[in-house]
Amino acid sequence: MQHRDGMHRSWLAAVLIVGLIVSPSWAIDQVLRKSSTTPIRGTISAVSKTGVTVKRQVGGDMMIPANDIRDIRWDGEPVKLISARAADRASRFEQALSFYADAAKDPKASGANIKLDLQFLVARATAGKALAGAGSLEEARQKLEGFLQVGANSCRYYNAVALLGQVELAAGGHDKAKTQFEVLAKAPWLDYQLAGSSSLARVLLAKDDVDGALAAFTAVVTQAGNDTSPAVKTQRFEAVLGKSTCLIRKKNQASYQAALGDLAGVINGATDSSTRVLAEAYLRRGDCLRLLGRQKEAVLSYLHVDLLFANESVLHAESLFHLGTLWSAVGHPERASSARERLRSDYPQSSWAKKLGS
Amino acid sequence: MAAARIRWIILFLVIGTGLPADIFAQAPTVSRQSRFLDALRQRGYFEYAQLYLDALAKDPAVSAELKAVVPYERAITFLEAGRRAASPTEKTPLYDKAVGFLDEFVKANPNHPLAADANSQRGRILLGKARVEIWQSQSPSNTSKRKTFQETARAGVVAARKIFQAAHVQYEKAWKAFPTFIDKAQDTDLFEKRKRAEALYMRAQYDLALCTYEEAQTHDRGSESYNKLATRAAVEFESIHTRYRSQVLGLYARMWQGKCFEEQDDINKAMGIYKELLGHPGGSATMRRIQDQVLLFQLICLNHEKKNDFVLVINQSTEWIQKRSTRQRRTPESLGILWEQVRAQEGLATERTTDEKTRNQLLAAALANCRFIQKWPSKYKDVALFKLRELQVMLKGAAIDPQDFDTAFGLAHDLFKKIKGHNETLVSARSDKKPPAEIKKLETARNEHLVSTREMLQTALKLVERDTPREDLDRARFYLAYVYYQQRQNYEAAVLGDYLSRHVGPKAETMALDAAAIAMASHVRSYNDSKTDELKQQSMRLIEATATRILAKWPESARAQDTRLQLAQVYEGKRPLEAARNYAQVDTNSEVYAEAQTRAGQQFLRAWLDGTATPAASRPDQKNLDEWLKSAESHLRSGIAKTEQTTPASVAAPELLVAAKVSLAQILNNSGKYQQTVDLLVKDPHSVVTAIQVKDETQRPDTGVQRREFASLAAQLLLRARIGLRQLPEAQQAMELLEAIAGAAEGEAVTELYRQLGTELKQELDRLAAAGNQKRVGEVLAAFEDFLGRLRQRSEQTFNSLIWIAETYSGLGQGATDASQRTSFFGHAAESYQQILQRANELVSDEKNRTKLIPGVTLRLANCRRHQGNFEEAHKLLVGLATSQPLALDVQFEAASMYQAWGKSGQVENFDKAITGVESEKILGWSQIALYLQRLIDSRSQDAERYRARRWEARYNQLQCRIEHAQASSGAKLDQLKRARSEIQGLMMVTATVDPRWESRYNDAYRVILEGLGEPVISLAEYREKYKPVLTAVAPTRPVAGPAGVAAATSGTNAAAATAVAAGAETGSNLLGLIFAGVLLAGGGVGVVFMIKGSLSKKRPRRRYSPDAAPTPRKAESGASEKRTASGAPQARARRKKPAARSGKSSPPQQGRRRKPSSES
Repeated sequence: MQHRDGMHRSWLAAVLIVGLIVSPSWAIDQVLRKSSTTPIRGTISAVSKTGVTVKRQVGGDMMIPANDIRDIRWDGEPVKLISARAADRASRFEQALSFYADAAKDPKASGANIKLDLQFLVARATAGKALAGAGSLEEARQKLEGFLQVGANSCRYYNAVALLGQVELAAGGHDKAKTQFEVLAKAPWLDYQLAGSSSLARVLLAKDDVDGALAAFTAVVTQAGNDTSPAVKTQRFEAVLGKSTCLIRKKNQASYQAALGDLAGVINGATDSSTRVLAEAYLRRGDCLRLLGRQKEAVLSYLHVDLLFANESVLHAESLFHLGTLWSAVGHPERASSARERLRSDYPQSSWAKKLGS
Repeated sequence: MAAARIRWIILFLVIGTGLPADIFAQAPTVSRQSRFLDALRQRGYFEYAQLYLDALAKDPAVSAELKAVVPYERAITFLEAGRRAASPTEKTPLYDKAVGFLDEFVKANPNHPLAADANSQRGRILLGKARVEIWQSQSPSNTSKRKTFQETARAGVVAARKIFQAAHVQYEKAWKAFPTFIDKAQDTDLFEKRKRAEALYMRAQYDLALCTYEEAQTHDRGSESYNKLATRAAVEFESIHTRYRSQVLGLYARMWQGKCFEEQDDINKAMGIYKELLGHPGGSATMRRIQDQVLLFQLICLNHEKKNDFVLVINQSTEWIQKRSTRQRRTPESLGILWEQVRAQEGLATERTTDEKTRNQLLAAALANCRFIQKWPSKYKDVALFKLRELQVMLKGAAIDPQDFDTAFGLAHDLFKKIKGHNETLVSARSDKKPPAEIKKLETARNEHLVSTREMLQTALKLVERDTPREDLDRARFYLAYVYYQQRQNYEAAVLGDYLSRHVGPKAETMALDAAAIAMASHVRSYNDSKTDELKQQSMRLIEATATRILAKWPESARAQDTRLQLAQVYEGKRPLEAARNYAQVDTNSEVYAEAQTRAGQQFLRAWLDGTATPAASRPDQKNLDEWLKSAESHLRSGIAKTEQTTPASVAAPELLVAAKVSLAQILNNSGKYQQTVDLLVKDPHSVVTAIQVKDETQRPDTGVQRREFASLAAQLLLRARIGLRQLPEAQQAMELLEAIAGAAEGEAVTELYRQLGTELKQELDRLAAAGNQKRVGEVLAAFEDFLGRLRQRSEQTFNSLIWIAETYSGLGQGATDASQRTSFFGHAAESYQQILQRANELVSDEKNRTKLIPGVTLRLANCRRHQGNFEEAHKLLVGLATSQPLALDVQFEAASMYQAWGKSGQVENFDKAITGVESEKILGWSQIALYLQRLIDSRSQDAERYRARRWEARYNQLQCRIEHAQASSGAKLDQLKRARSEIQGLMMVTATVDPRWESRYNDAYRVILEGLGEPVISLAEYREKYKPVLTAVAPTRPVAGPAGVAAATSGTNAAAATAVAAGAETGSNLLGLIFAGVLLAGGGVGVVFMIKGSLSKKRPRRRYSPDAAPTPRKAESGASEKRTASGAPQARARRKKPAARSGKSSPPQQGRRRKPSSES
């Protein structure tokens, strides 16, 4: 899997910015967390690569670890940033980048915190676009490296590291990717450590070391154990998905069946909000069923991605590619045609669209 | 899961109305499974939704709670599939399945929270089914059943309303049970519950308003009831809007209010509402969705012919589209808006004021839009594809050489649509009697067009690729089948049609049925075109196989009705009973029900006539015969009643009705119900006697009930009834009427008429005797004796009255069973003939006429003498005739019969004369007659069919001579029987089949011969099979009528039919045919002998279907509609020597039945 974005976007919102001068005491920043729907409001008084400290009007200071940060809304930030983030979340990277560019021109974006965060957001969207096959990987690498040069103490640091690893992996720079993922694996939180280990396993997979990757993914699953925290659970599922990919790569009936068993666990266990995990789980299940000759079931599995997780653009493109073939096989060439058309139309730059040919 | 289920309810509530699920804000979170199912359904992947439900039901990891609602989900899936199905025939079974699963769910889970909702769902299904009926009622092909469909739909709406009304009461009560004020923050749960209760109550109101709207659709648009209900629906929607104007459902109600106005053609009012909704300030996704829908409605209005504001449509839609992302442009509403833009672009492009450049720009833009629309699933996909092809042609013209399927099919489609125009032009030119050269030119143009269309379709089919949509491939093949049919390439059309009917995709059920109909029509035409009986038999088998499949697979379809009619038509004449049964099955709602009933009656009558005329050994059971006669009467009465119902008294009697009455009169006469016959024929409204009258007897038309033959038949029946009633003066009037119809005060026509009456009388007596009804025999004889006796008392006799007396006595003589009575009757007949001959100068003043009449009367006298046993006198008369007219067939038949009867009387040497003739007397004998007839047949005479029949008769009589000779002379027995065996076997070696009407008699004769020779008895068929020659001789192409057959009264005159074949060994020769011998031998012959059952004339099944009978492609169920010609048979057919129809005297005028080419979908 050269183009998978590996690390989900949630990690990208977990970087502390250290050493920046905080906003005036009357300012209200908002930190959006993964663990709760209620944002923490107050003044961000300290930023480091491990988290941010929020000085709340009531209840005193609160340290929010970087791995729990979904996003930060800075007090007085350009309004356009709200639309930009929404587009980014919806994988409308082109639109997001356009909005970010507009926001950057806004005088309200001149603050150091906002400016640095905006630099990360642009790098993230550029990477997202490149990984979706719609943009340049080189440009993404440059932007991420640019950010890391100035944001080593940002709460976005580990997210940027993870993204850079993915971009390097997608570009075929296995060693460079490995370097980045090793950094990630040394993060202070278990979920990030697991993510780093899984990513390293993916590097092995990219190098066709299927057995090595399988062992590495299995180790991650073991390491995650029965930890019930959502973040760790998600990483365990990611590792299971990686393991399933390895089993599929082994190309035999028994491994397909084994993968199906593992994937059922992911599909039943993951929450609906884990869209990336679920999308990939359905994709891999579709692969297994397709390779087992159970075409109709495969169609159903790929359809989950098409119908429920279309926002996961990279994975969606892959599902459309398979549907573009399978629909014909089950007697619906017009649906196959429609799937191919959507792949070409929505993901013209993706490797899956290119695989279709003209 | 409970929360998810409730969400499902809400989702389900919106199905069928286009309401979005989020009208119920704050609905509980929906499960992944239900979201996936819903997405599958929205995409139209219903079969995969069912597949997914199968998987859920089997998955051990799925909770029991979720599994319990699987049937419920199945119901939703079927319901939605039904809603989206293209044709009514597809919808109904889907709705039925939905009901089935709802029932299953409720039964298994009576206390489930969803169970309460199931009833409302049933209401929606009923409403959905009612919509199906409404569509059916609006289909042009269902014009005749429109009222029935509307009534059924109305009943469905009423039933649905009942359910919704009950739900309304319950939901209102449930909602009102909540406190008026609930603090959302304090009691969130209660607040949400009340909100949901209110939503359900709102929905119930909405459902009721929808019922009113749908009920309006069950009335004709523009009718008082329609307007009343549509107005009421508008008021109800308005009321909902007023109460809930701030809520989504209120806005939807407002939108439907606008639609009510729009459908009442109050475009401005509708536009006002649409404008208001489009100007609504809300910016939510739901509001946008409503506005999208409203914009679509508004654009439809702007494209309405009352507006034709194409520019505004283009501007508004363009503005709207530009604001949408690529994905948003793919929603059904977006595609609908884009489709309206296409329509506007095309409309503007084709306006006269549009210059060439702008036109091409507009068409190119429309083309691009169509390409986009047809890529995405929606109801516009197919229409866009066709439009795309049309636009391509409009842009490129027809000169392009297609390189891909789409282009080729587009061009073919365009060509295909023009076939209808060619056909109509041609039909119009023919009906307008345009000059032959002009018609020929049109025919050539049409044929060339058909060739071009076929070639383009074939090109398209060669360009098919793997991803060519199956629907398109099927449609291309369907078009090709139709074109083949139009080109009369019946085999190709049938093969393609049959293939398609079995293999088209499940969504193309309508096409499958239409394709089967093409196959059926092709087989029928192939049957009609077949030159030999064997080929006809092969076609018949294919017809039966196709018909059986259509009737089994689509028993309720309109095509099934057509199939029954086609089958019945093919069976007519061949298998009257089956024809009758098929006609009888035509639905009461059918447009042709009355005709079908009449024809059913006539065919039952025909079966009865055939049956009663069959030799006793093979005659059907009397019980069956009685049933057929009863059915004949019943169906005729039904046909008459139905036709009378739809025909005001002030309107002239339809020919169908007159024909039915005449047929029924025949039955009534037969059963002695003479007064009923008189009433039927004479009384108004729609008196038969009135219907057959013309101002000028010399100007009787060639077709219809006023044609001479039919009018004569009616008058004969009247005369017969008057005699039965012993009403001498009235009978005299009937005779005068009859004579007037015959067209001359005296002469051959009148003579022939009376001869027919005599023959009919004889046949009637035969039937009564065969049925063992001696009482009626006695009554008939007595009535006639009485009548004739009184007639004979008259001092002043005319030629006509004497002929009438003679012929009637002759008929009585032939029908009488008592020998002395027979002799007496023939004696009276002979006496009258003698009188005519003696007083010829006095009775027939015109010498030329007299010269023509005398030989015929002489022949009739000879016939009487033969029956009297006065062979010497008969011999003397016949030798005279044969010497003067040696080629007169009737003379030769009578002469051979005379020698045969003479031989049978004990002078066995005359048998040889009967067979070999007497050269010095110019008498040919049966053997020479058969050879002579064979020569006539070989000369390809147009009367070959008639000659074939007479040849069968001659050869049969020859066999009878041998048998009778063997029976009369023990010394000659072996020799005669061997000769007979040799002759019949030789005959079998050169013929493939025996005419079915002679088959049983030949078999009986063969059996007698073999028994006489002491050989094992086998049938002739077995003999033929055993000694089948390598080369099969061509069989007679068509059968002769049965011995008691009666030629169709209205199907054209046919001298051939004059050769009525007597029952059994009796050679009831048509002696008066001599009068017309010259004409007859010349192949012309207009002898008025049409009533003779046992016509030898060619029977060709009526092609009441025009060449356009095959169904044209159609979108849904709006296929070909039908119309019947108002008059009888088509002129062209009626003018040529029309084959005698099969239903005896009562055969009706042919009812043309033409299928109007359907409009192109």
